[in-house]
Order: sequence, then C-alpha cells, then structure tokens
Amino acid sequence: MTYLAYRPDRLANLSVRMRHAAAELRAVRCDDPAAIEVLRSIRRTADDLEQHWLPVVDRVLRADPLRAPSDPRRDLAALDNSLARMAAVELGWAVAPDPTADNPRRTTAAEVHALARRLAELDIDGVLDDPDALAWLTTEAQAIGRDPALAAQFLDEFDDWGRWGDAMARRRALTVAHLADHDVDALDGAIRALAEISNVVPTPRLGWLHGMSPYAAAQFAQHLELPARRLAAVYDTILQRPSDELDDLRGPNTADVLVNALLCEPLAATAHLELAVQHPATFLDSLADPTLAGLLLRVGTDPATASAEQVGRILPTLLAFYAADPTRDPGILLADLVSPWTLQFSPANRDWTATAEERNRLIRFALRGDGLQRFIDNCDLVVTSAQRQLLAHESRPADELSGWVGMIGALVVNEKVRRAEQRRKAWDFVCNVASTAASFTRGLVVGVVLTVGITVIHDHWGPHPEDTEFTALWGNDAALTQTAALIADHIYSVWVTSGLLPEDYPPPPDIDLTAEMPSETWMGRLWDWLDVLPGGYDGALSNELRLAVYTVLNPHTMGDHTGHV
Amino acid sequence: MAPASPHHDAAERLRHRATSLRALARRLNELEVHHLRRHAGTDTWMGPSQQALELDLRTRRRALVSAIESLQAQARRFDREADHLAALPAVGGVR
Repeated sequence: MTYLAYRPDRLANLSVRMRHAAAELRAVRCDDPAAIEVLRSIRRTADDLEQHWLPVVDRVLRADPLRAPSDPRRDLAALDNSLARMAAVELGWAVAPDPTADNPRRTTAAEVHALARRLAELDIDGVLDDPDALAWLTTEAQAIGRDPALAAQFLDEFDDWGRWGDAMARRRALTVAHLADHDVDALDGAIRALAEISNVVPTPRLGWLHGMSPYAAAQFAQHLELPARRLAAVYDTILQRPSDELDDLRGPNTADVLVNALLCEPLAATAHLELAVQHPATFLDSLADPTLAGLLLRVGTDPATASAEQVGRILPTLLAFYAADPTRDPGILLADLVSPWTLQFSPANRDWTATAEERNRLIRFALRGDGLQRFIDNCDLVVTSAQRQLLAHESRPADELSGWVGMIGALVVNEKVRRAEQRRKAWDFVCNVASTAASFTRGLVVGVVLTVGITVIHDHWGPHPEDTEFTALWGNDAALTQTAALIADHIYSVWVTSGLLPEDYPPPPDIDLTAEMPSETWMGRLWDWLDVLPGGYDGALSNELRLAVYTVLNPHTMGDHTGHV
Repeated sequence: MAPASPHHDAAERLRHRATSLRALARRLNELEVHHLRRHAGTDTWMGPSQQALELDLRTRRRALVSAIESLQAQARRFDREADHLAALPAVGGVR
C-alpha cells in the first residue's frame, strides 16, 4: 500500500480553501455571448475541485485510523514509502493511504531526499529479495537519471554506494557462477539505472566507485558515458586495484567486464591502451578471458579510429614488453597489430619517436614465427592502410616510400618463407606495395622509386636457393613482370583520366601466371598493345610507357632476371 | 441640438460589452483558485495525490490566465470598433 504524509491542520485548511474557491467559481456570471467559452472552462474547474479533489482531501482527513500505520518505522518499511516514512518519523506528520496512488507520478526533490536517506539505513538483502522493491528502485533510479537536477541531488545526498554496489554485485557474481539463484536481469537493470544517474550530470564526481570492490565498480562503471579519456582513466584506476574474491568465480571478472565495454567504445579503447601499456602485465594478466586482450588491442589500434600519434604511444611499448618477456607468446596477434602501421616502421618515417633501429627490431620481433606468414596474408590490410595514410599526407618524401617498399621486401621475401607458393605470395605482396608507392609518386619518379625498392629486395632477399631452380627463377620473373604490369596499368589509368585515351579503350595486358616465362609472354602482348596505341609503337604515349616499364623489366636483360637466356 | 449619429447606439452597445468583459476579467483575476497551489504544496502533504493536485492546479491556472487575456483582448476590439462607428458621418444611415 502506498501512503501519503500530511499535516492535518494544513490539509484541513486546504479543504476549506478549495470549497471556497469552488463556490467562487460557481458564482461567476456574465451575460455577454463572448464569455460563453470562458464560463464553461470556469464550470469545469469548479466541477473538478468539487467532484474529484475535495473528496480526495476529505478522504485523507477522514482516514480510518485502523488503516493508518501505527508504527511508521515498522509499517512504512517498504522502499516506495520512503517519503511518507521520512515525513512521519522525522517531521511527525500524519500518514494515510493515498487515494490516487495508482496515478502516473513524477519523482520530486523531496522523494529523492527521502530515498537517499532510506537507502542508507535499509537492510539491502530485504530489498534485493523483494522483486517489487527492486523493480521500484530501478524505476525510481531511471526517473532520477532523466532529470539532471534530481540526479545531482541524489549523487550529493546518497553516500552508501559501497554497501549497495557490493551487495548487488555479489549476488550477480554468485548467480553467474551458479552458486546462487537470483534474478540477474533485475540486478543488472538496477545497477544500470543507478550508474546512469551520473550520466546526466556534467562532469560528475565518481568517488562513489572507490567505495565498491573492483568487481562491483566494474559492473557500475561499464554503464558510464564519459569522454573517452576520462572513461579510460576510470577503467584503468579500477583495473589497477587488487582483485577481489568475486574475480575468482566463474564468469566474466572485473577486467573482462571493462574490456567488453571498451570494445564498444573504440576511442576509449585507444585512450585506455595508452594508459594500460604503462603497466601491460596488469592489463594482460587480469583477464579471465585472454582472447579479450587481442580484441581490445585490435580495436584500440585500428587506424579507422586511432591516430598514428596515439598508436605510437601504444605499439612500440607493447612490442618491447613482449620482446623483453620470452615467457609470453602472443602468437600472430603482433603481426596483426603492426600490419596497418607499416609506414611508421619504415626507416625514414618520423611519425613515432622510436629510432629506426628500434622500430626495425620491433617489427622483426612482431613477425617472427607464424607472424611472418600472417603478415603476408595481411597484404590487403597493409596496402589499404598505407594507402589511407598516404592519401591523408600526400607529401610523403620519395625516400620514405622507397624505404617502405624496401622494408616490406626485406621482411616478407626472406629465407624463412621456404615454400614456393608462399614465396610467390610474398613477391605479390611486394609488388602490391611497390605499386602503391608508385601511385603516390609523381611522374617517372615511379621507376626510380621502384627500382630502388626492387633492387634492394632482389639483391638481398631474392628467391631462396633451396627452392627448385625453376620455381625460384620463375618467382623472380613473375614478381618483376607483375610490377611492370602494375606500372603499365597505372600509366594507362592516368591517360584515361586525363582524356588521352577514351574510357572504353582496352587496358594493357594482364600477366599470365601460367606461362613458363611470364615476362616474355607479357612483354610480347604489351608490344602488340603498344602497336595500336594512338601514335603507334613509336608515338609519345608508347615511348612514355615503355620508359617506365623498362626501369623494372628491361627486355634486353630479361634473360638475366629469368635465367632463360 | 444636433441629431445623434445613427451609429451611436451600436457604438454604445459595444462599449457596454467591453465594460462587461473587463469586469469579468477582473473578477476572474481575483479568484481564490489562483492561490490554491500555495496551500497544496509539500509543506501540507506529500505523496502521489499531492503531485497530481499540484499538476492539475497549475494546468487550470494557466488556462484561467489565458481566458483572462482573451477577455481583455476582446474588450479592446469592441472599444476600437465602437470608436470607429462613432466617428462615421451622420448621413447615409446604415442599411
């Protein structure tokens, strides 16, 4: 039963005044037709007072003393009577059943005050064991959380977060671990509603989280909506506290809860990693579900949301941490993490503060073991990520791009890639990277850059001698031919774009990977294609393209590349 | 003695109506119902009924104030029309 509290003398006064007001309204007269609508409204107000509100007030004044609580402390124990209880106990007001308790109501400052006081003295288990009381608390907290003024008042007046948070979180943890049987959804609903009260207050004070165990704090903190850096700092503070016994139960622990929340907030994930890599063991070792670390690292260093500057504060530190601890085995994770940031690892890049030597050491560490193959499989990711960054910074110097091509070549076409098929894939990778670099380098610098890159690769990281001779030579030939084909295709695209060729003009020939000597086959087809170009084989277009292609694949020395001459 | 304007009676009737509407507006402005909210607040009672009554009284007072303004506006229109009629020449009559 819902009670209201009242001062009998004042309520009796209100009753008298309402009667007087109704009588006044009924006495209003006016014969002018222009006043008809106003008079109707006056009558309706009089009716409302006389037929609805006076009976309500009189019913309260005449309330059956037997139905009124004899001991408000005992009889008004229910949470939803907090306000009436406070008025009765602390102010000495009378209490009666509320005749209109079922009507829609709004939460008031007085109720917030009473609720904050009442929660601090209540037996929590009594509320949590009562589904109606827990549901009422959730609804009330939601109402408070919709009103910034009420929310600020509640946060100011309620100071028993630790006791409530721990009790609710404990029940939740025990139930998830099958050691108790509580309504987790109801608990989660209440936790969320209480936590979200802070979300409507500008820059809320969150000291209340410190009064809870880390597990409970995580349950509440996951619902906070804060700027990324502040959220990251809050989470990091919680994760640095010593774990509690609830973390040892089956089910997601403190770190799992927070990392799962971060996965939905990429900006906060990045900001959190910037803090977490200062003490990576705390972060990595506290997760009950170790796969979450990899997910968070991938999300937090994703170039879609993280800047090169931010990742520069995360990735080198993380790689150095793993490199210094041989007992840890992150598997292919590190290869995935470096794949979108290869430009930053290249020798001439200045985005990160680590030296070129240190970056070279770290990326080689990231690609050891299965990491190298994973890196080669990530070719598309490497190329598209680099393209995105190059598009954003068109003024990358040519030496940086050639250094990048050379670095990729040195990484992927090395003696550890023994299988012929994988070596071919690695060469494709280098060709793609070289083509990307070429597309961002103006004019015929293309050839220079590519020559630098390919020469570095070819001289130092050519096909492995343990491959069959044919396969090794074929791989070399195919790689150079593919590079030449990419250059031809690039120049053709420029011609079409600039109107030198019509849009429907056939493109240069594709490389035939089934051919015994791809360079010879492709070059023959290219010459056929050049013959019919506007201007013919000796025309300006043909000359420009041949000059570019020959910097990589010169027909006079093709035999040197392939070993077939 | 100059003959009365044929519009004189109509103007007088309009002025009478304006006076009547202003009197009603003044009467409505003095009603006790305007002040009921002061006695129906949380220093008298607290609970769902109190909230509902307070909300109802606020809504009805807003409607009453709007009605008073509407009556005053109508009275001004009647006065203006009366002035217009009174200013018309005495010839020509009104059909």
